[in-house]
Amino acid sequence: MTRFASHISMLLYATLLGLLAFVTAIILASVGVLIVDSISPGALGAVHVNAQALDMKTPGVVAAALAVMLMVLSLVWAALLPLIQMLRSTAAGQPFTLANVKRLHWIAATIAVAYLLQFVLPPILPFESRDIVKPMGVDGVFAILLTLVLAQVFREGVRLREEADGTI
Amino acid sequence: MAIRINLDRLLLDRRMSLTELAERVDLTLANLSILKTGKARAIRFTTLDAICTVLECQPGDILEHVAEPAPDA
Repeated sequence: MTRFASHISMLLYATLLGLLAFVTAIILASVGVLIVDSISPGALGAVHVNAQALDMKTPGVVAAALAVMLMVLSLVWAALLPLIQMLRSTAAGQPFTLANVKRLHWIAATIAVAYLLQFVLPPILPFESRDIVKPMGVDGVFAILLTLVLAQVFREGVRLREEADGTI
Repeated sequence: MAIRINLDRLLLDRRMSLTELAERVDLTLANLSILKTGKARAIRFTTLDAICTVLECQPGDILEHVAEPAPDA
């Protein structure tokens, strides 16, 4: 088990793991409900999957909703997993590594993909299911920039650590 | 590098092992070996102070500057 230097990092770690588990569970449950409901309507009673748009359950709408949900799931994993790994490496006493610089770049790329998808997806989705894509706004751009700046800070940190490691 | 570490000669003169020096200056043997073989990038004044105290010597006895041959010579 990873040992954490402070309660804050332990709390962060628990929060990240909880968030990942929560989002994964919600999305997988929705996917399951959507699939069962489309195969045998009414089997689960009056189920409404979180969006009025899905009241019109044509195969196209259901397929689009499934695709978007799985996309969101993979994006959440792609963004949160590196974050969890970074926290673990920090707990292990090695935060300033090139691996963590790469992870930050990866997170920035993931946010960028999510940001672009909000423009790319709605035009190609069936009209009734466009509502499931929630626009991100400027905070997405800010998040990308923040992550990229952090990556540069970490890169400098790697250089400083190498310097300190060579000092006896 | 143009700085040579003469730690092995000092230790030989005093008949002290690297392990004993490591214990008395409170460094790990691994770090002291790095220093002795000249692979260290820098040395702290506190480390230098501790080594000089234990070996009863001056920094100049440990560190020596050697002129490097010109690159195109």
